[in-house]
Amino acid sequence: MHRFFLKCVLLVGVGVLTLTACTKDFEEINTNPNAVGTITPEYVFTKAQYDGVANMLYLLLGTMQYTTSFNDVAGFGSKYIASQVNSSSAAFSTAYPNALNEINLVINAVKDDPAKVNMLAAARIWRVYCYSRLTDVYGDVPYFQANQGYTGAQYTPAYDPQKDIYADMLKELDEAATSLDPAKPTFGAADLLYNGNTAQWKKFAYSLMLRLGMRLTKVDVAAAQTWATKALAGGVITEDIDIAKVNYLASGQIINQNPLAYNLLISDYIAANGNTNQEGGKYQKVFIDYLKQTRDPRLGIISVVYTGGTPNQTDTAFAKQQGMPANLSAKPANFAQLSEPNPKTVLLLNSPRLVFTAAESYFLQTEAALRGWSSGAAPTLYSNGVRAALRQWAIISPTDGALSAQRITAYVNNNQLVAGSFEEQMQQVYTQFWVSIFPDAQEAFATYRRTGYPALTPNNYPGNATGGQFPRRFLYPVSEQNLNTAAYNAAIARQGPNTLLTRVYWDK
Amino acid sequence: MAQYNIETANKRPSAGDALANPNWSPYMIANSADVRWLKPGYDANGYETVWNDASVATNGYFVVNKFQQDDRKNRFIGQASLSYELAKNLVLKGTVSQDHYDYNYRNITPTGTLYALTGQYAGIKSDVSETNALATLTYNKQIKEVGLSFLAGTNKRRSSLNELDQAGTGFTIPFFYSYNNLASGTTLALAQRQDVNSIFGSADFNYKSLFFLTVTGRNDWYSTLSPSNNSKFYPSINGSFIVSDVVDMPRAVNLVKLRGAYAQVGQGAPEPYAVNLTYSNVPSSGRPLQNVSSNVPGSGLAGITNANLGPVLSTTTEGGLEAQLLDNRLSLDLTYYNRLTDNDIVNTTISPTSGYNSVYLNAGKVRNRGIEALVSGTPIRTANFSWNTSYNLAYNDNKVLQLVEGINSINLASTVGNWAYINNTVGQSAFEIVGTRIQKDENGNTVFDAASGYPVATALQPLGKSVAPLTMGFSNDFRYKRLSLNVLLDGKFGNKVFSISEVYETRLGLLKSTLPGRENGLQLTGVTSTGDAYSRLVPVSGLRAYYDNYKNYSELFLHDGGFIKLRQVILAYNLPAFQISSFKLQSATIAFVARNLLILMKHTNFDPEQSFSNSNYQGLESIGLPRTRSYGLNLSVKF
Repeated sequence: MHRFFLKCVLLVGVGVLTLTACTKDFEEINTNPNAVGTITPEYVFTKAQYDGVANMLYLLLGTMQYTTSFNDVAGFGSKYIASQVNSSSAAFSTAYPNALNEINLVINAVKDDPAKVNMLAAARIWRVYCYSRLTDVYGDVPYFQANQGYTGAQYTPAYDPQKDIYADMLKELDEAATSLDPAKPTFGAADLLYNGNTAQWKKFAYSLMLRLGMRLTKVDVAAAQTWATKALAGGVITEDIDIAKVNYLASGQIINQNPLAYNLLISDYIAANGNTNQEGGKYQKVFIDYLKQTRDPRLGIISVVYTGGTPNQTDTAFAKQQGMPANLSAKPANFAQLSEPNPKTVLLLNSPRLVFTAAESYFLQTEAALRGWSSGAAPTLYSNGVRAALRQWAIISPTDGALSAQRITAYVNNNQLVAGSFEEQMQQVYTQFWVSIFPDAQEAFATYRRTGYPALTPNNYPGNATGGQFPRRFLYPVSEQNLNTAAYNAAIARQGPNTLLTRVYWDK
Repeated sequence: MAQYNIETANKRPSAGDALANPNWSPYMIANSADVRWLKPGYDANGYETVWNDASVATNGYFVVNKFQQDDRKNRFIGQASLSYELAKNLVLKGTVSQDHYDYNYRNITPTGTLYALTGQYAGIKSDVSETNALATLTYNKQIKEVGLSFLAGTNKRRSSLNELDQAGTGFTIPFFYSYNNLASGTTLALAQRQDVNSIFGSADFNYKSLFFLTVTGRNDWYSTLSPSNNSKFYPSINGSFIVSDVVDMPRAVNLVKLRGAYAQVGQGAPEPYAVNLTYSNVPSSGRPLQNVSSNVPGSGLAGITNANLGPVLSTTTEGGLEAQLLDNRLSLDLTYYNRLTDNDIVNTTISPTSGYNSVYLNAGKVRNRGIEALVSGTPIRTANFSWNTSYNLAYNDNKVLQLVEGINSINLASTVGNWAYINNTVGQSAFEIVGTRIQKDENGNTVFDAASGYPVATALQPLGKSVAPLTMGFSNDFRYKRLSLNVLLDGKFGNKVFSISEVYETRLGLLKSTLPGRENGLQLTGVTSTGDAYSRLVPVSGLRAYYDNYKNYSELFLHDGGFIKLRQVILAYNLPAFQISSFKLQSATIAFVARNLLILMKHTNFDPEQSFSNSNYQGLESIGLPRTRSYGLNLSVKF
């Protein structure tokens, strides 16, 4: 018995020892079997491209008077109602943990390998694109200390002045463009924009440089000239084949479908009967009236009405198109007869999203010529821009977006750059720009703030947050006050109150 | 021991925001409309009928009639143990137990739902188990007047979860609700495992059954923590002493007992994989995609892991007094405690500008201290009638003493729209409600933004405790012959509640506070931010937007969350069992049980207990259901 007792004590003792020794397999137990410990830069880069393109502030379609809704919540963009202002922070909150952090992961993974210089350059250029979209809408944003939550335990990054962000973005574009080397490997097919083509990445970098350089005309015209000249010397996008765009699929995962088309469909137009639009959305009267008044052949490509409220019975007839005024607070009686986005073009799930077009490049070049910064002939550049803008709908939908060469030429001939003062010509260029850049409302919003064109009349809707003035920026998330208090307060103290009327650096 | 349970449910009600919330339409429909006008919630084609201009606010009848939700849990609990007396009073015991369940869940947002016209699918299939292997060795011995008992043991606990999450949108064939019929569907696999290894021991002593002392010690090893910091030893000591048996007491005193304890308890991370950052594939129909893994399964939000994650330790010091007086008809129980929680593991929300939405932190030190008192007595005791009464009161004072270095405040929860937050801030109570107020100048005038014409909102500030510091219960038992009546009241005091419902009700003009100005507009007066006098007439057409803007001032929706409720009444009749003694019945009781009968005191338009979650969201009310009043009959028999 005694011996048995000893054996048992021994057994328990051994048991205890084995158990504590058992922590050896803890690391394996605490390893997620469905995840990996290192990144595949290609896969993260593709994700960053999708996310960067998809992160847009849809309400800007309303602000730029392309669309509106009789519903206060969905109509915020076109009405700037005070009670809805905080919905405008969505693109800020989405940008960092998605596109921006992803591109940072990619940069960290490839930056130390000289063989991966093209991957690094593409990632740096894409980071500039994503940050420029963000800072243009919100002003000062975290930049130099951002996305270091994991690598630097930086949970409360400082907001950087937009002036510094712009200086760094332009420097990044310059360095990245010159570092591209056609002899070295690329992201290849993982690069949704250019399939790894370094020559095209270079054009995209200089096109972005032109865009961002021109942004500075109001605040620092000398810097604007320096960067615009440099960009033009480097070579910008002028051919349709070089347009920066992402292609999408008609079905499958949502991330693989055109984000603008998907979002508009899901939020409003999926019933396709002109009547039961969930969020009460329609084209705005200002936009449709302008296209009709200028006999614009794009009207029938962009816009439809539903005949008799029957699903999918669309009518693109010029005479039938009419937009909805932005001052309604209830569903109008003629709602079903009003124009909305064409399901075969603007709402086409497998249409590409255009990130930088030849048309935009030509309009910016026109301005550079008007300012005497280049030897190009402004009227020719302008006509090239108009022509490219009419052609680009065929890229969006080869079957339903194509205009005949005849119609394009006719419109171009009827819409030439008319001689006049610099201001008059600017008005002409950037009114055409507004029509041509649709549906990229954010770029229209930036150009409007910089040039004042098109000469839109702000909506003085009851209860608006701006006293009936045009918004100059959108709001930081309220959560930043709680989660990043000191940095947020410093940004407000420097830039001005977190309101729609505070102007960003380049809009001063 | 083996036990098998099947639990099935369908159409569990959802609360929260407007989407798919059946409570939304009855609460939010205009006061002049009858909610039954929304019946049946769908049209001839089976599509949701529009009832307002916000498509996300689902018609309640459509939710009830067309939404589908069902779940089923098949649960098996088994335990086997073997004990062997090795020697006299020395027992070795081994126990293996498992609690295992299979879970199936399906939630259909049907075709025709306005906010998701082609429908949505969500499904979960999982198997979850917890297995424990325990071995103990116990020894008992009585040496004269000293009783001794010792225990040593070891335990291994393994928890595992294997889950498939299916989600998708768009039913290709309308109204046919199969995963295979989705235009876009994704299945994600989730597997979680965690182990806790433990050794422990305890020793009990008692002297003449007057003085008791228990000493314990335990060491745990947690697989969910950093390999360099995954072990924690924690002791406890617990003593009690019956004073009245040693010291002479007045005759009125029957018993006086003192007790004291010091105890520590360790804890690991609740979720695995919080130590090393990983990357997961993102479902794609095109090129492969990858991003940082979410640290909250299923949230899709990128979170930061913590390579140094260590154990939580809570230390409680407690003292108490128990007394029986007046022939045991009055008793008193008092407790004072002080509990410090150190290195609490919190998945903290952080600014997205860090690149991530949250981070796992060992977040500082929180103190809870308080007193609990229980007085009970029997004022009347006769052969046929008795009345027992008891009253308990508890006060808990909690305070965040310290957080992580460089962090003064962490966010635990927030409302939709960020109208209010629940924060832990150093120096304040834990789970403090934080939000904005209307800016006032030193004379109490409202400060207006001259450009927008709206009052200026202050910076975020603490608005009150979300967890009630003071709670009480009052129970009375009356017995007359075979009839007994129990009446229970309870109450909570000192907490605040933020009402998300009222934000919407204000927007929709349903509250009295939105009446001023409806005839001739609303005259506003105050000062501008530069101190000049300001006045403006909000026209009737601008009132809706004006009142809707109230949501930017959290204080307007904040209320005292205290209440007193008549929680329960039980009327019972003890059947004369001896008359049916042929069934060998010992006793039989039939009882009428009613719960949640009345709210005797409250300061809100709603049931202050209808917060939408019990965890960090206490203090945020959102279009939920009040506690359900229930009546039941209960028959219990003993053989």
